[in-house]
Amino acid sequence: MRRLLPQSLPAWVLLIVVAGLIAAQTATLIIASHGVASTGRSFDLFRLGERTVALSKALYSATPTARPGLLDDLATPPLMLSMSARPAVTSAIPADDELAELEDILVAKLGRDGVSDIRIREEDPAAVLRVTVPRANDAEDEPGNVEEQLSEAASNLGRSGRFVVSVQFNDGQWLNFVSPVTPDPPVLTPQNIPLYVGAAVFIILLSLWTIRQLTAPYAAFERAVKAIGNDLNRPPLPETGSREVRAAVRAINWMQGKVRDYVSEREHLAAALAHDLRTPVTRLRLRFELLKKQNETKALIADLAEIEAIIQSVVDFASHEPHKEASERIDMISLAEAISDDFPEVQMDQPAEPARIVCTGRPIALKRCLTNLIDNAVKYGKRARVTVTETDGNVGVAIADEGEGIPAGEIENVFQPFERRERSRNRETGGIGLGLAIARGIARAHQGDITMTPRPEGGMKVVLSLPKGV
Amino acid sequence: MTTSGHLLVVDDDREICDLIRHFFERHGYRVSVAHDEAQMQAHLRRSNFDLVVLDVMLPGRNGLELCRDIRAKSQVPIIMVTAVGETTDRIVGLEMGADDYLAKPFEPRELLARVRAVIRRFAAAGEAERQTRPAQTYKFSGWTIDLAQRRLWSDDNVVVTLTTAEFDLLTVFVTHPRRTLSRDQLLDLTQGREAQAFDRSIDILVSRLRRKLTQSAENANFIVTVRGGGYMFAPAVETP
Repeated sequence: MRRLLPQSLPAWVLLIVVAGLIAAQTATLIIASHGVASTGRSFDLFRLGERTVALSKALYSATPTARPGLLDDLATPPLMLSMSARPAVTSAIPADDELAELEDILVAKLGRDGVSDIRIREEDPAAVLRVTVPRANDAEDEPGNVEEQLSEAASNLGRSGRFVVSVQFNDGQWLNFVSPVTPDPPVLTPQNIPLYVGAAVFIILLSLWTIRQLTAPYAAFERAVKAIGNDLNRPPLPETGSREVRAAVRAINWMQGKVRDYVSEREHLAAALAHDLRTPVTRLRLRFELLKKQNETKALIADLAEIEAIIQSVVDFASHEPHKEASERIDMISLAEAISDDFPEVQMDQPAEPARIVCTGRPIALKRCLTNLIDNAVKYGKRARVTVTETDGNVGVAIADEGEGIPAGEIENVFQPFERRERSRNRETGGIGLGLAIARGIARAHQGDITMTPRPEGGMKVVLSLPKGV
Repeated sequence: MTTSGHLLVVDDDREICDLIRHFFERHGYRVSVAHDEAQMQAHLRRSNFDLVVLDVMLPGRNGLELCRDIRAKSQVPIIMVTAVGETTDRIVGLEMGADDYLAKPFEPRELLARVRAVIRRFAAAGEAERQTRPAQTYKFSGWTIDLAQRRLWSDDNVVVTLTTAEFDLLTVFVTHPRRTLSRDQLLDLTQGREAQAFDRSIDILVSRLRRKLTQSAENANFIVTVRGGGYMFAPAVETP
């Protein structure tokens, strides 16, 4: 069921508009046909009353011998007249309130004209169809235009119901006549169907245009928020469009400013930290250097180096220096080679061809990114092998290590800041777990990413993939 | 004891000044210290120094401006000390006329090595060379090397990364083109940079440089081996 429901906003709105349109048009048709029907009925009853009064007066005043002649004269199809001692309507109980009221009005009106009872019944078309209505002008050969319409009306009349009226005179004679009910005109005709369809098409087109107008800002917001995600310092969005859109744009701009403030606060904190620590650390280094017992100072100097590395990684993590650095075209092979060169445990695969694999990026940031990845592989994987590859539009640097590997469920964790593999919490491997977080941050800032997968031979394979850029 | 030279250390942190003084005195240098601009100027008027170690972060006018002031009057070598990894500081510092740059917190031995290298380089250079500071960008056979940014570009403008030792060696070559340099001279001139320069023998570094800089057959022999021991950087080097 859920799959059948539309997922996008425009589809939803369109569905609602079409459903509403169908409901509105159906309702209009029903109301219109009811209106026509009730108008037609009032008219029918009025005409029936008039006819009853006229016929009753004419026939009552005629002498019994003159009545058959008069009946013949008055009976023009589809009106059928007869007089007899018995009523055509046998039941004296009125069919409904409306007809009963009409009966009462007519009896009151015709009381002085010798009418003692009036019974009016309505018969439905099914019953009527069994009675053949004599066609007028059967003899005439070529019916004119007016006559054609009349005969059409007559056949229409035959299809609708009819009133059967019995009027009892004082002399006990019953005047019986049958008068057709005017049929309801059809609501949908060839003339008004195009109007309905045209209105529907117009409304649907109008809603399609409105939906487009309404949803266009969503796409623009999506692009804008993504762009802010990539570059916090981009200029704010222009505040144009409808009032709601302007309010949303203001909110997005406000959020961008807030986030930028947080980030710059973080950067300032890191910069202040680094700045304030450098003086005491410099002093410590000089003091150690001046200590007489060189054996003991070696360990102290190593500790200090570790503290410095931690400070540096916090600064790297917190500051968005990559954003300030200009992009260059960088040969990734020589970069990977130069970094690998600093680690005796790392072997670099020299690709035969091409001698260069170029990608556009920020040199210092990418160097830090790759250094962190290789350093991490050496720390946890003992030895590592670095390969630079080139595919369509992408540059990949793969670092395969020979460590114990990481369970699949924990791979994502190692990219989280301050996360470290448990067994590494000792002095040798050190660090505070920012290396991979920094590396991934840099890769993503370059529209690239870092993936980590277990190798079948054991150990992990880390792949840095970057778009080549222009 | 003969002094290796007379240094002026300018830093607003008194303890650091004292510690640097002790450290350098232990290595045979004479050291004067200054904590602000006025003291520095007074020292500079009074005596001749072999080198100035200048901190960028100083109260009042910063070290970069002081560096430019010193350079306007004198050719004394200057080593700038700046905050962690601020690349822009380094570039600006070198543009202002500093001879070398070191980030705080530094390894005291690294500072010592650089002080030695700068003094040696300054002593070795002729009077004319002292007047004109070494340029920061050089071009040779399509390559561009920026010593301040420590970056190398190929002819199609691609950044090619070298190891620190390789870069140091290339720096020596481009600043001494078409001159035969013995292995000892090369070692001397590259010292003062990171400790790695000592790790590999000059021969290995040269062969690695050759491989990395050889893009096609036409510019194959960048670094010529000179019979009798030594190397010569063959291409013509331009400074823009």
